[in-house]
Amino acid sequence: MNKYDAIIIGGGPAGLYAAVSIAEGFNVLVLEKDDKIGEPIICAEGISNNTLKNFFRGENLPFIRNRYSIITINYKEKKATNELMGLLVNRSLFDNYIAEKALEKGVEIKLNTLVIDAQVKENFVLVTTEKEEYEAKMVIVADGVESYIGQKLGFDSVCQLNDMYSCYQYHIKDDSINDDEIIFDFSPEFAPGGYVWVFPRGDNEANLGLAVNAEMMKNRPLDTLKSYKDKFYPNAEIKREMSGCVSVNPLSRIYGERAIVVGDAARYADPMTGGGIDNALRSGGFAGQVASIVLKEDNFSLKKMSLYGEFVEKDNWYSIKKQLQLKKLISDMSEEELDKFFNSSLELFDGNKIFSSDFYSATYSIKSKVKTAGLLYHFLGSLMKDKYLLKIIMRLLWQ
Amino acid sequence: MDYIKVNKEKCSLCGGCVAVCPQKVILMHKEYLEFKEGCTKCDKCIKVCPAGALNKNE
Repeated sequence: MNKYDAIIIGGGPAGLYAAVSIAEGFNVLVLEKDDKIGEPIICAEGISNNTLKNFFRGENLPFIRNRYSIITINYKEKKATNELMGLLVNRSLFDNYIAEKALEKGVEIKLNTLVIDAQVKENFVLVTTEKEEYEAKMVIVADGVESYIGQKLGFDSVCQLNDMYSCYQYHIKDDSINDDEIIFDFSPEFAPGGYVWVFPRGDNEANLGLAVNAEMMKNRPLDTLKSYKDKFYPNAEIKREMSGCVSVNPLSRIYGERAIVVGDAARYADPMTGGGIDNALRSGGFAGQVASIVLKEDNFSLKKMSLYGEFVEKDNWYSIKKQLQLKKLISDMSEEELDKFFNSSLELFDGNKIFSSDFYSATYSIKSKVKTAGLLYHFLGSLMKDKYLLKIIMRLLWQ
Repeated sequence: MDYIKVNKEKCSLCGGCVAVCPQKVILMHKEYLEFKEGCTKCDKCIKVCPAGALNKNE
């Protein structure tokens, strides 16, 4: 029998970052179903500067593909441009970078190992893979959007169609792509309930993708993206294509006796942008901290594990909940309301400084114009992972 | 015969079908999807697939 202090199920950013965050001296195992860390990549690869600052400050980072400084938002014929600093990562190198750190700490990573069951017993968790059985004092469930083990451990990880974004993405090369510009297109004709993105990879290459709310979806993203490309990038060379899914709306319960759920497995992606990496690192980090405490005290009771819930709640639970309400507001808007909303907010957004007190007054003035306005700013706050900005928006919109 | 047929060429193994399955009868392996017993034919997996890779087996 293989015995460990903690077993982490899934070797993506959430699981690996959890592994890195567990204090040294514990016996930690990561089980990953694929042959390699970071493969296959199913990701748009955009992260904010703040994510980088929060999690990798002062480190020499090998995984940055490209940095951009301009954001353009399109809605039908209308267009607005502003400043926004962010970057694209090479997800494969990104995951491997975190894996390296974990290995340096003495974490063991087993590839090619699919976990098919996990059960909490009296004094341990029994983890079953296709080949063998393991015992762990606790488990961290990080098996991604396709989470299977959460349910086995009694978490309700069924995702509703309304909380699911069905996506398709091309990696394209085209002379018209500006390496310095990130584009979001909210035209409902292409992406009902979601948006089209153009994330620059450098060298006139980009990840061109679209996300559609699965409940509102009429055509397959595969087909819609093709018509988008034919319209806006007719001569682009397609280097790779893939489908993907993003699930939002966190599980009602994210911890249990001897178990914690993190990242996409907890449906923890940003409800407005669909970005999963930032919250994967956040929740992974908290899971690691809590694991260190409960392992040290050898106390895995529900009460002790609830510390994880507390950490997450204090962090950004409130803004996630509010973002979910906003998401619902937009998905309930008629096309006429959407036109009105986007037209006035894009006008205000175009060229305006986002930071500083201008921001406050701008948000306030759109609020008085349209009931649900402020959304784009909210979207930006969400993109930048700027807690302060998000807080101001929350106050304005929900006071 | 399985109720669902997967077009392996189109499937990227993105996991959307696994996420929405109310019975949790789909397990994603490294290179394929396994459909276990207990499917209630709700068709949510077919609906969510971005590439149209899942179809009813007729």
